[in-house]
Amino acid sequence: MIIEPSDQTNVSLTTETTKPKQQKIKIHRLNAMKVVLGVLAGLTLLSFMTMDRGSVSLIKATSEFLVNLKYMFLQPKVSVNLLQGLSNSLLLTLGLSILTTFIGVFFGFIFAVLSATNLLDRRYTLIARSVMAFIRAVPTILWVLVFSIVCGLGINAAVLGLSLHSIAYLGKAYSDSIEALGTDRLESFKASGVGFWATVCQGVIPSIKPALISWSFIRLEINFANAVAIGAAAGAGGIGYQLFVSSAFDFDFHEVGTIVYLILITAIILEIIAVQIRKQFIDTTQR
Amino acid sequence: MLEIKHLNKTYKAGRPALKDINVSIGKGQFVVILGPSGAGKTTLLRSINQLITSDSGEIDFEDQNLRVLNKQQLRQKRQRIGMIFQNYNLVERLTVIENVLHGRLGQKNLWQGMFGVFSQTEKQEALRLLQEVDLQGFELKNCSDLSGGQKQRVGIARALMQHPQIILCDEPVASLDPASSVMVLDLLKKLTVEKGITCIVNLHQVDLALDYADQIIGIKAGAVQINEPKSQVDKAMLQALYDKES
Amino acid sequence: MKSLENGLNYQDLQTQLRQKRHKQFWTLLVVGGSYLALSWLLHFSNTIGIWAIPKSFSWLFINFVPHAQTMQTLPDILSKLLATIGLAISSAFIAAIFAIGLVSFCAPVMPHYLGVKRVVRLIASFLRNIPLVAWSMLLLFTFKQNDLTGFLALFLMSLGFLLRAFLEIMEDESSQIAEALQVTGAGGLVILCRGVLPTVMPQFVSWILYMIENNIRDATLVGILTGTGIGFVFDSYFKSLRYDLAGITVLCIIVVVIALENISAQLRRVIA
Ligand SMILES: Nc1ncnc2c1ncn2[C@@H]1O[C@H](COP(=O)(O)OP(=O)(O)O)[C@@H](O)[C@H]1O
Ligand SMILES: [Mg+2]
Repeated sequence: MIIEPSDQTNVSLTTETTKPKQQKIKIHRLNAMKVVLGVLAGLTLLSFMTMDRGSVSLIKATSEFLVNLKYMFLQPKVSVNLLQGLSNSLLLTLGLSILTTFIGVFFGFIFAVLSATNLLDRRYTLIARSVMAFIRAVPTILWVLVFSIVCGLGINAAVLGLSLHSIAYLGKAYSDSIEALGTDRLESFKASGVGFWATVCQGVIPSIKPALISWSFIRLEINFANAVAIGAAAGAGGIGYQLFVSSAFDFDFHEVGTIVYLILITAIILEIIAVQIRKQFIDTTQR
Repeated sequence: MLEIKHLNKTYKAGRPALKDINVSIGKGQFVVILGPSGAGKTTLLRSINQLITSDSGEIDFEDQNLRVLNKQQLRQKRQRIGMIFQNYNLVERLTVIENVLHGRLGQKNLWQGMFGVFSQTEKQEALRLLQEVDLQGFELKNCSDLSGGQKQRVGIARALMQHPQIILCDEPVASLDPASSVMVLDLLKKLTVEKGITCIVNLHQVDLALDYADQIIGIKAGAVQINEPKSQVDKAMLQALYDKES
Repeated sequence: MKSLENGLNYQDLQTQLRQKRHKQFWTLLVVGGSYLALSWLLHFSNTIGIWAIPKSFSWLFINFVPHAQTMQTLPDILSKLLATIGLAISSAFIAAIFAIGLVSFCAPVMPHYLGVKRVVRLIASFLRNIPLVAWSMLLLFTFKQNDLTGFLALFLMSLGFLLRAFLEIMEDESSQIAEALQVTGAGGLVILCRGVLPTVMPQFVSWILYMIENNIRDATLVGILTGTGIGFVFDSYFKSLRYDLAGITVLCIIVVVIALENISAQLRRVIA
């Protein structure tokens, strides 16, 4: 890092006014990181000062919150009927996340190829990149709401919204992996006259297979969380919707506890699978 | 000044790494430990300041056996034993002078240590030491911006900041180019002559060892094979040390 | 002799290629089959889905276009947007402070770090995998409809994510620096503050920046659920069919997210 002149101005400011013998020796340096942290701290303070805290008493709210947490986690409702209904919803949500991950992987890869600068001219990659950046910038829930206008609230809108975001996310992740390959390795294919999609299938896919698999499973984890969220916020069904109903309408925190446990267990299993798969490929995925 | 008696060490799974080591080292000596790779040089050096706990024996330094000290006492003693590393082990994100001042952390109380509060005299001393290792003007650079030779000299300044009686050096020049290596070893040699600090240096270059050492310790398969003043060491002994057969 | 060897290799190659093709065929079949099965089970209609995309986008570009009246409401939207950005930053920052505190006990220089690490890992997994929806609803119930609720939901989520990320960074960071300070006679806490934390901090900051980006997106969801911030603004316009206003709100979100993405990419380059 370059030493900027402003860094050292502090040294002499105080010294000229005091005794020259007691010159203060500077040992720290202002660097970009400290500035960033300082700015973030300032913004946090500012946000706290302007935050609308409502009129609830913090102590009362916190203690009530803890009591509800206790209902949730220590006294979840267990009944066969409830569990049967919930497990169906859970399967629906899980299926939704797997289905949208499939779609995301397939189209995401196509977008990744179209936006990899070591495969295509920058003119084309820029378009694919911009489209993906646009899609990623809109939160998944908003996409689901938009699609719900055309196909109505329900599974179709949920699949489309989740898929669209997955495509953009995986497209970026994959294309980063493709670009990490560099140009040299693909040049031999070009030199021997191999066509574009043949290069992709024979040269690119085998080389980035570990990254492809790791990213896909990471996305599966994210999709599960998102599927729960849109189920609740867009009324798209599944266990998320059940969670929303029992917490926003029934205020039954014992039941919420059961639902949260089910989601938690599923999410942790997915996470363990993803971690194991990443571990298996760990030395090949490191760039 | 440093006496190692009947020192033994066996890692969890494996052959003994140190077998009945007996060595005596005098004040202000430049001691070079030689030996093929895997002989146990690193293990011996790190056993001295208890970075590795040995199995049995004695390490006597300033009338105390370092092996039996409690945590507090050990930390006190460690302040008197500097160490420099092959990979420098500096806090790269901090400035040169902060790294030098780290040599004082052992003497600080908890709060001063945690927040890096150093006195004016300490800072002045750090500046002086940086001059001594020929790094004046670099105080406020980040360590990550230095070359390998410069980093190692910061490492030496940090060790000196501890006011050590001994400096332990594990392959201090293994990652350096020849010119920087000579500079670093010259510096260490000067410390032994001018300040009477004992330097114990692991090296794998025999020619450098012969240039600088006062005393040479040869280790092979965990046992001391040579332990002589340099004048007593000849080619045949060194050849036997590195010979795979015997 | 040589030709015989070549012949063998050639045959080997043939079988290998055939096996590979078989494997590819079956993989495709399984993936394709499960895709269709899942679509059928979930009642997802592929034809409706495919048609919905162009329809939705054309609907989007017709209805989400702002007109003159829209601009009058813009200051209102912007102020909510700013508040939401503030929430995203403050929740990530405060979560980072807590995460650093907890992770500090998991540095190898600290006593009993293995036991503590297991506990912290558990907390992280717990916080992260409990759905944001659950946190939001639970907090809404007691803290009511205000920014604090959004802040706390984002905070709990960020804490889970940052804990895991920081733990991994701590693990990867070699113990060399700790060793170097150990030989000066320094104790665990001092080594942590002077050696370990300064070394890992740049990576931590990079994660904080990522968390802020992510929180902006999540804030929309939390907002819809808890009726706060920009999410609430969008939701109420959308539901009251004021699509021009909903459109401008989305546009604002897009601009902020993309801007943040680019700013943090730049900052990461400077910090690293
Ligand atoms: N942490 C360890 N665990 C197990 N065995 C070790 C460890 N460190 C070193 N050894 C073994 O101890 C012996 C001596 O190693 P070392 O002291 O590093 O040798 P040198 O520094 O002379 O190359 C070697 O056989 C090495 O394999
Ligand atoms: Mg060694």
